[in-house]
Amino acid sequence: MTLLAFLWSVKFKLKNFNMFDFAKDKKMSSDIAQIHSNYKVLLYDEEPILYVGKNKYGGYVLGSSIDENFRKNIEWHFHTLITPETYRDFINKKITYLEILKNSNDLFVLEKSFDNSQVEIYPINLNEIPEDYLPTPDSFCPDPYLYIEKHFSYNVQFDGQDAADNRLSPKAIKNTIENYVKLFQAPVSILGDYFGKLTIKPFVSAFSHGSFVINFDIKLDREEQQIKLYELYTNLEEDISVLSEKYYRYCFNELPDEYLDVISNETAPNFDTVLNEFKEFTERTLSQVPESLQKRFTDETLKIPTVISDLTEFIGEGFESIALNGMHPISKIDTSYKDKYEKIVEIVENKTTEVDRSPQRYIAHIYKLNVETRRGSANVKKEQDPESMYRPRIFIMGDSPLENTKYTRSLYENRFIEILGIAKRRKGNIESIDVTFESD
Amino acid sequence: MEFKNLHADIDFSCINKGVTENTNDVFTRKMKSSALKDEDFLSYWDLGRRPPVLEKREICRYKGVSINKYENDADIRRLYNRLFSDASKFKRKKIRPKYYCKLRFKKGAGMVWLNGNIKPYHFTFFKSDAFSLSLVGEVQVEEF
Repeated sequence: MTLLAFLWSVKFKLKNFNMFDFAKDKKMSSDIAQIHSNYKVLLYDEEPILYVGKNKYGGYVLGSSIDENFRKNIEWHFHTLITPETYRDFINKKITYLEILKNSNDLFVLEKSFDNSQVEIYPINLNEIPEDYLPTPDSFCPDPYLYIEKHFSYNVQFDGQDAADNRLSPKAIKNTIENYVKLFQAPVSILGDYFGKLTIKPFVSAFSHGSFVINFDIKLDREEQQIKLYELYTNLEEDISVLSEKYYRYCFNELPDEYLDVISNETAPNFDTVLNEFKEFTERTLSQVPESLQKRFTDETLKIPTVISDLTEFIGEGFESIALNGMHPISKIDTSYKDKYEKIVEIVENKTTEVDRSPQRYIAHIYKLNVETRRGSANVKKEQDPESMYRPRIFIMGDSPLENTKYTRSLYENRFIEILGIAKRRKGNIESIDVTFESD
Repeated sequence: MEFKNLHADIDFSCINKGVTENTNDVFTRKMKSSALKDEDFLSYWDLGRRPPVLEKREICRYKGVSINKYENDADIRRLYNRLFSDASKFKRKKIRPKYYCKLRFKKGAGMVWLNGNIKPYHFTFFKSDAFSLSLVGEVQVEEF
């Protein structure tokens, strides 16, 4: 420490900062409440005020600065253990920090020396904390991306059933990778044309040992290659990674409740918030908000429920849920999401599509079929141009087994068959067919 | 420009890609009194404080001092007031700042690291080995 720093600290030692009294007889020897890794500052004002990290056992710890004593070179912090769900709810501003502390069964005061050489941890009850030390009732999480290191990587974690035994069916893995890549592409598709046909190059890295986790690394790429991306905009990849994660967070957590409003051009406040972030980003980087941005944003976002509905297809068959984590936890989808998104897709189709008045005959090659859910996808020859195809989702009605039928033969033998069904079209394109089961 | 003091007790560099010298822009720094003093440029690391987790990003943050890029008085006051308002929701004993100054760094004073993407942009300033207040120019103190 320099002489100047020493003199400055002496000046503060003349002041007497008091921390509230709390019981010190319950000092804990366990380090469960200490942050060991993944430390992220959520609010910074000259010092870390609010932060999160993981303890040695992989559990999340949320913490905040309480006070300091410059005479004794000691500082105090609240630390509480939180679940991934609570972390997500806090990031999504569904609960406040005060509510988290109130509901916590694992609340601690961390007392440490400035240089970290001494750390003591004391369990504490909320009623031991004076009211003027508690966070305020409006202690919602600030923007969680401001102070953290940015990256464009995600992991998708499967839980339950076979996934707990570190295995999954190839079909479930393929479906998950395909649909998450579609999701990851969406925000870049919105912005792509404004930055020289920007697109993504996703990479799937090796599965982590000891768990069923798929890791994605996303690289940005430009089709117009004359100037390298980072020469144009120094922080473009960082900024787009933050924008994208906020977009995915909206798609999973808030879009389901606003979808009908969005499609009907009614007020959708969370949709507007994310759209404004895209507008501010283009204004910052391009010095203008492109006229086409709002339409591109709306069109891409309206496709998302179908992607998420497809993501849920194998939930319950080998795993119970899929969690998506980026810079922060983003979502966890389980069977309740499956039902929710199927209903949204159905409602939207009924609202916006033209439906056959009676079952019609179509020539189709089924290339994807889940015999349990009876849902899949098919190439369907266009009536006016049999060389061109529609690619609708299909649902085979009824409950007759599908094994050894023309439907599974089409799938396994790659052949076209005749199907009878009611098609739903949007802007002339068949998007789905409810197929009437016909035995051979 | 040398940073031997900055790196004296660590085995990596805080002066990475994106950390640059900036003698063009005006920056702001919160102050403890109405006159800019050497102590206003003491980092947390200088004062013996260490981040709770010794990750490189946090170590570098502790080794620098927080500044913001100045564009106009209204924006910077709004930012500082908002930061204080947000911080005091979580840290009730947060002390309200009384002063800030506008300044411009002279050649050789140090380098700045952009690490906040809201306006007015937040930077961390790393003092060079030659740093002193004589390398801080155009100082103008404002009271909140």
